[in-house]
Amino acid sequence: MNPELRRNLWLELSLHRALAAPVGLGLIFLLVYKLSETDPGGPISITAATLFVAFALWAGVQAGDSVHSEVRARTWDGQRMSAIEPWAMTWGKLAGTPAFAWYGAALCFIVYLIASPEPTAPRIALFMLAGMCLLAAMALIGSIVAARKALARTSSSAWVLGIVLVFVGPWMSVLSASDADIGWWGRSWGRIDFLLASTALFAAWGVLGAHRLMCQELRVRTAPWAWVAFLLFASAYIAGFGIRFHDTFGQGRSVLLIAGLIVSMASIYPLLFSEASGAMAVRRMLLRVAAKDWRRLLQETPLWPVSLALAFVFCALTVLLVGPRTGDNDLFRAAVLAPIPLFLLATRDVAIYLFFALARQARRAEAATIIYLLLLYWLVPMLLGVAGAKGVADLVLPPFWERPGFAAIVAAVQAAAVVGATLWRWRKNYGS
Amino acid sequence: MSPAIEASHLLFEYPGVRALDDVSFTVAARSVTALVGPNGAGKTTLLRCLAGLEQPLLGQIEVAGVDVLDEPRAVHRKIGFLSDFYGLYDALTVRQCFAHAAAAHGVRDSALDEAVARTAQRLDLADLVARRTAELSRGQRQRVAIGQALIHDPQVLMLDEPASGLDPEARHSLALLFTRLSGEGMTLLVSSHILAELDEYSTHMLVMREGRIIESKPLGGPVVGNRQVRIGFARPVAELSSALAGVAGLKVIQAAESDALVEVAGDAQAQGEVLRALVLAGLPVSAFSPERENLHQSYLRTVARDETGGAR
Repeated sequence: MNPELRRNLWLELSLHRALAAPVGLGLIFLLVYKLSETDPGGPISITAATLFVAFALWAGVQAGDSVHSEVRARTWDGQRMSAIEPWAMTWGKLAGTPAFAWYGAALCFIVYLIASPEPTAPRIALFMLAGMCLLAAMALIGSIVAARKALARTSSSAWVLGIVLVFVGPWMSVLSASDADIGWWGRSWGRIDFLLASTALFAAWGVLGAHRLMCQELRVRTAPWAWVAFLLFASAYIAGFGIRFHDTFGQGRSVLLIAGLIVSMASIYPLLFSEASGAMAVRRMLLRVAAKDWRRLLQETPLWPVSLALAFVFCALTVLLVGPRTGDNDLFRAAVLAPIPLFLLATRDVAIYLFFALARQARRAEAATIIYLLLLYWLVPMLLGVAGAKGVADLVLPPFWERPGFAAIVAAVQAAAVVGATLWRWRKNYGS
Repeated sequence: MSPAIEASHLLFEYPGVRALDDVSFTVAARSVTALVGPNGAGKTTLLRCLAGLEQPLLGQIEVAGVDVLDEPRAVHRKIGFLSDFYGLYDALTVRQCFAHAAAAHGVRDSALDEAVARTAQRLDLADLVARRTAELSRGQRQRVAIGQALIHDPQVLMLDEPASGLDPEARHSLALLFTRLSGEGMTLLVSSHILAELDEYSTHMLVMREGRIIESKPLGGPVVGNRQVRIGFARPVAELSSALAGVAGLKVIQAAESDALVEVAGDAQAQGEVLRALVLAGLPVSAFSPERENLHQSYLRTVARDETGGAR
């Protein structure tokens, strides 16, 4: 038996709890049954679904606590010293830490399937199950990241709430806004089927992501192919919503490239703030380059340079292939040059983070970077705009949609200045 | 016999601090090696690198014949490690903690009960296996942590301050356990500040200072090229210093009425000549033994030599 799962079962699923859960849930469903006058199936299924969601959230909270609670208790080194393989540790934690929540959710799942009068009930039940898996996997990822960044005091429920608000909430509200079918890659898909397939796919990616992070924690070397594959998948997924049935090959390709650019650039920031990207990571990369040890370089490089490199590829392809050949679409026209300043600004932002991270006593590099990004993207341009100094504001936040050529020059100057300052700090503090 | 641990050219840095600076050494199989050095010397970092918990910037580590950096999970089946700042699962019983540690290190389910019983016996915890670890004293928790590190009978056991929190009786028991484990073929690498305790069971010494290994040698050898000899006499000898000064081949370091420490130039044969001369001179010699330096003396001498630039 998986040792990690067994340890969690000892802690989470005592005989008392295993007996109390069906009794307690049974009494709730009995109460609902008695209160339902004619047709109890609907109220019972709604109750079961509601309780399932509650168990799912609880599972997320517990999965979100699974690793960094061990860091707090100083047992994580012992786990890392074990011979448990990353995959066994990953699923042992996903299934084991919230074992009681899974147990309660399974009981509600069965009741929902039996009681629901809706013909779509099996697919909705599977959708809920996939959603629970996705939430637990994302919470485990959050827990590993929190442990890595020494955020052991951060509440696990805060992680789960953040995940729900940032990722799941908006996506779900958009996709479940009406009963109409969903257009994706030029085809029409049933809403429930699409939701189920999407959630299941992202849950699988979530579990794979948790596994790859666990590999890093357990010092098992992996190359970043899974991350590249995920970015390409996410690009194709998002592009699917922009591609219409009558689009030409060129238009479809343009949407795909723009989606790839957006996804790869957007992924840089969470990676930069969640990975070990400080002086030692840079030193390690430089040593591998000097030794021409490309295999180790791939295995030990953080993922943000991979995203940055992919963003560069999408930027170049977008500039070369999109625009002139794809008709009079405004987005495509802007896409001819706008990716250049966007990519340069992303490079500048990475350099801002590294500038703070390469300080001798690097503390709160993430917070400092976020403050400066807020100043550069929002507060300073807005203040200058309000003060009537639009020209100066454009030098702070270049107008990449309206004047991409000018924006590219401004962004290049900004990027060069910050990269130069970062190189100076590296030589000063770690140049020997 | 190939070494149990072989590290070469390890480089490890924290921002602004070089914790391991081109560290290379070997640890002989079946030895008990004391890893000593002042605070901040890099001992804990070195142990964590050897255990596969940290990854050095450069260098190679092989433990029990396995490349730690390439196969960290495989090597964990062959080694045990007790961290200085360990934790226990407070809600689990001692038996559950041991069973989890054994299973997590690859012990088969069918062998778990036997491993738990053997380890509880070894650590004198057989009466406490049903207790939750939260209910145990500090010393008992320390013994549980040590038990978790060795329950899978590792080839190499690494311990960072294993005796902290233990009373003198428990420390002595631990020293006996380590000696027994070494006798059974296990290689131990022990870091501690309590040199007298390490002296009880260590066979080798590894001295670290400022991220470097400044000495790596076997312990218990005679002092500096077999030179210092302690001589005991059956009865007090008047004017002992003068009497000894007349004997060829020795130099008196200190002399009381019935005890003297002398320096003998040369090897064991020269010592035999000196002993013969003492007896022929009519001195009532009752003991004649080359001085052996303890770990504490050896450590201090190594550090002093390093400070004057002689070590390495």
